[in-house]
Amino acid sequence: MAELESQAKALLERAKPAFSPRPEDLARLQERLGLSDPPGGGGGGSPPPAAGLKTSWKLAASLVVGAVLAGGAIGTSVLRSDPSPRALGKGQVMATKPDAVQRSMPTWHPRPWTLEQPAADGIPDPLANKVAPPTPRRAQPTPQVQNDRQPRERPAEAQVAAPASSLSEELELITAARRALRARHFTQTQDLATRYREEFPAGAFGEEAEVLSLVAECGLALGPQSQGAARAYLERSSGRFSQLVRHACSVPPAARPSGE
Amino acid sequence: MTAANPLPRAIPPPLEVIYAEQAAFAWRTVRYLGVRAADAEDVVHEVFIIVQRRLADYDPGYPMKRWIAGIARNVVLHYHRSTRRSADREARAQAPSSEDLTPLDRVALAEAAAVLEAFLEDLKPEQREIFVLGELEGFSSPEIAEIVGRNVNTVYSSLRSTRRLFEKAVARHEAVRRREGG
Repeated sequence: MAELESQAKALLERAKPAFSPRPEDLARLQERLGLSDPPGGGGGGSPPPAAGLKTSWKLAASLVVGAVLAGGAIGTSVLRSDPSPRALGKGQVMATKPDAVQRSMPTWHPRPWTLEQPAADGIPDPLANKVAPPTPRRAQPTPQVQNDRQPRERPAEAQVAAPASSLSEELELITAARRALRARHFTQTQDLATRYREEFPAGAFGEEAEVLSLVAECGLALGPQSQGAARAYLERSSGRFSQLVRHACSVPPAARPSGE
Repeated sequence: MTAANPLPRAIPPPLEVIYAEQAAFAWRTVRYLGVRAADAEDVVHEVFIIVQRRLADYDPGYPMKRWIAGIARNVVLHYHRSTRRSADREARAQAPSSEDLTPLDRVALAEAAAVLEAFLEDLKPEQREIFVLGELEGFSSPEIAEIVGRNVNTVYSSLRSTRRLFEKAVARHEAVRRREGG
């Protein structure tokens, strides 16, 4: 099938980081889920996963398989008792692993599943009461997925902007203003543009916010007042938005500064 | 005796490993599918709660990424249904910490993200899913067909036409940029 042209591909590549999580996002989410760092992974829960991680998993899997093969019948009970009682068939009883096999298991092996935990969507797990809880394998507490279901706390104004982080919020706010303008919601555009300028006085999209506000003002047909503001803008700026302002506010080309 | 005691199923990887390998992918996918930056964490959290709940049913022979994509897609559908009434649908593009980038990179990233964001937003939901999975996440058309539950020929056709649309959108953007720069 025909692929994308290189120009389009390049744009996708450029845009990709804007849609990707930051390491701190993933670390925070990992904490929320109550997950520990996987084996071989770097500390701090920062993905992407290390290459060694897959290797560790394969190694662990091969250990388990080895234990199964060597242990024969014991192996079956090992597999059944680990990692999750949910892997058991209904009505089956979970066996406790023999100590020898436990010792051969990697220390990071999966935590017991939290069957007592209510299902995330409120649907009761039919296996939850039928399978015995797993025998704890180690003294240290094992991570449990936390289904907090509560949106994390955000500042009151977190819908669009938070002064703490910059470009992401700037972009959200300015795009919201653009969208409002496209939808011809001029008052909303002005509100958003004003909010942008208040929250990001030295923001990357400062000029665009001003232009959006101007164009919205002209869209509201505020007459000479808005035309005056547009003229003032055109006198001091001949940049990328000048044509848009001139067109939206019906400022004739004669109004352009002579130096332009 | 043996028949009554079938061979145990292969063990799925632990959730920690799945998270480490797939969290970034899940995050990108939900963002590409239209989840706002501010909501991405909650949505991906939901994805992994479901992953955890269904892990016992997961067939290790099935590609994990495809499985996660299917779950993420369903969670995003639910997200859109529940947020559809929200009047203020804001932009979704999010950038990494600005201190990581030079000012020029910031502008380039912001522009590219805005173009992609606007393009994705104008697509129909099905078109968007197919484009995201195929073009942005590299799934093959048969894989996409399986994830989204559509005919593979429909997927091929949608992907082809959306690619052309995207190329046109990029060409328009580049033309405007050249005109404004010149």
